[in-house]
Amino acid sequence: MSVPNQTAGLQLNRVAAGNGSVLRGPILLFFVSGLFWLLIAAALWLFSAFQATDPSSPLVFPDVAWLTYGRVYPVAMDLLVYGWASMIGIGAAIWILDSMAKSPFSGGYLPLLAGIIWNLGLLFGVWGVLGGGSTGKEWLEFPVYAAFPIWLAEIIMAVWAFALFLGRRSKGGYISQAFLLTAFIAFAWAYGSANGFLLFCKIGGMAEPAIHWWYFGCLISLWLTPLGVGIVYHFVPLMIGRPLYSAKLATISFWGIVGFGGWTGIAQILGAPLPAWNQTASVVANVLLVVPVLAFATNLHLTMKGSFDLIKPNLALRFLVTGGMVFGLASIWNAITTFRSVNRILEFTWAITARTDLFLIGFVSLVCFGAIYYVLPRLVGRSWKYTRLIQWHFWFSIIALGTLVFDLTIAGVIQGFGLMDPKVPFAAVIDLTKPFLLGYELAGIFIGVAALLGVGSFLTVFVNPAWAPDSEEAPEPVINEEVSLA
Amino acid sequence: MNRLSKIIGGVFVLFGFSWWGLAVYPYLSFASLKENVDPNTKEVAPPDLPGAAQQGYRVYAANGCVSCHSQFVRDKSEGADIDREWGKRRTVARDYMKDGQVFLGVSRFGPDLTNIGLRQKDAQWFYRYLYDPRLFNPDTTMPAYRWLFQDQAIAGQPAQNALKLEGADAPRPGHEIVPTAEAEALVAYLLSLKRDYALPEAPAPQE
Ligand code: HEC
Repeated sequence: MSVPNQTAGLQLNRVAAGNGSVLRGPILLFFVSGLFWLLIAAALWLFSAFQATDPSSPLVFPDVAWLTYGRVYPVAMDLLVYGWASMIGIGAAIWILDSMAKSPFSGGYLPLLAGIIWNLGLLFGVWGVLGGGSTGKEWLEFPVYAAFPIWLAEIIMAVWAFALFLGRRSKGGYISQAFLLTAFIAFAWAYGSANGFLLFCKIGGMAEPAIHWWYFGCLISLWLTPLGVGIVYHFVPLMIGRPLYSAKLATISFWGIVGFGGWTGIAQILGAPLPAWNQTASVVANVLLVVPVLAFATNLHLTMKGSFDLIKPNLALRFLVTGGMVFGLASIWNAITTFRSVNRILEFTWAITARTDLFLIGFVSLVCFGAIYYVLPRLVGRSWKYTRLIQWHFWFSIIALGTLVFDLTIAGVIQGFGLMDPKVPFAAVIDLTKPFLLGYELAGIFIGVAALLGVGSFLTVFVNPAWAPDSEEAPEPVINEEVSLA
Repeated sequence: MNRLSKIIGGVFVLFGFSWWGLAVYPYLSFASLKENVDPNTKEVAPPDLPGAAQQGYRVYAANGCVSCHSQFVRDKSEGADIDREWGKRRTVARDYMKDGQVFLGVSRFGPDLTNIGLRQKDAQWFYRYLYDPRLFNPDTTMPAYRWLFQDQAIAGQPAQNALKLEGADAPRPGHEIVPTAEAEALVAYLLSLKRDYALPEAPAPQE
């Protein structure tokens, strides 16, 4: 089984889905919606960070049900995943699949329809959870009337993606297509069956958390991961004008992620009364997942080798490559913290929250922004002008990520060792972590600033200089050192 | 085309495998669980949930208590849950077989609540705790849930379940703070959280 290299795609991308394509509208819709939800998510996240760490702050409203932590925080997380990451991922996937297929079929109304329905689902979801309709299942809080539209929209997208792929003019298939199509199949299946079993059939007893956390593994490893990896595999070779280093490594990363991804979720609740082999299998899967992820990161590294200079000026590339590298680190950290000996200490602590955040902010969000910075100029026919803003955005994202993950991980380690020692009263454990929770508030502010800078850069597109697709110069956000020093 | 079908087929097989293993298999294996009837006392374990608690778990779900509280006690070899007296024994699958929803939780920002109904047996305690956790620990990060209560004029006799509050929290003269129906259901649910019955597969560890 071989997945051919990306080279052949190199030329196509210059013009595909550019000005005039029917897909322009849907892609823009997904991008704008994703950024909108990101802003809301960041605001709610910051709000919840203050609430969780400082209950006497004026941001706590014990009299207002819909402003309490247990409703706000889940909405923030759901919006981050289903609003921000998923919608940008889909927007980028539309661009990639279309430009690679060169198909006469564009079915532009399908993605448009999906985008509208997806947004409605999110709207219902926010409304529902804040209004007291949360299901109380982490990452699946949306009630049926919100989950169903999202699922429907995803099915529409999957149908569109396959129709496009089957009707393609270009021969063969590429690794990023394989990842993106996989993401569409896996999410439809996982989200559909999790919500179907849990909300529709109302399965109770321990089968419920089994399905619930199986789903979480799929959400991370078979939806967000393939979207992100597909995006990196596609855009990086294009930007540096070189094919992927190794088709073999790409193949390993593909089958490894598909093979192990679905098994990873149960490791979130180790020690729960689930079949022992389920737990062992999940730990093993999390450890083995390092192999394909490192195959991906190594491939990225070797592809970039000799071109690393480019990440200094080319900001879109910088987002993508940093995101890909963080993913490699995140998967190693994920494996370490899954080992039973480490997990028994860190389980239930902030460190586990930080582990998920590292993936969502460090890998997925950076890659999403990289995709936006690459696609947007081609979509609207303009080059970037305010590259400094994008540079600020990049550094703020890194600072936010670092503060968040570093801080919560230390808090989690302290909390973990504290909880392991029954002589330390529970309230004392919380007190020990309090200084770090202030850092959490700070991280929340940084995340908010980074999100604002990202959205701000996006909006500058309207004042950016026009770019003609056939002109030689690429419209990437490239820092021109000569100009900036002046 | 051929390659595509191979990829799709592979994805389906690999993905379906995890689906079967982690979702369907547990479902099938837990579906056959039966309650335990003690041969001598004829006591049924786990006991049926009281009616009021059936409503209460929805309030617990809707308000994201699970974001901060877990509900499972790990084995002694897995952590200090038992030493912290969150339970006398680990929880097993049968403990949850009658639960409308299982709130395992992945965060212990607050204490585990598997057996909160054993630690606190008085509804009034829960009402006051939810109304103002700072009465019990001024530095606590447990949020107050004042909206679960209402302020009403005392009509004749004070209500039986009116909150006993003093100082800054005390209601205006002639008024009282009483739990809403939601608060009553939630507290009934919390009171029902006790796994103090014996199950043969989970003996309490010896000291
Ligand atoms: C922001 C996180 C958070 C949320 C959300 C939260 N709690 Fe708590 N809860 C705590 C913390 C922290 C404590 C420990 C307080 C202390 O000991 O100082 C606690 C303690 C408790 C206790 C007392 C436990 C004991 O062993 O004494 C109960 C009961 C409780 N919470 C119920 C709830 C319910 C019901 C909800 C949902 C309506 C909820 N909590 C939501 C953080 C939270």
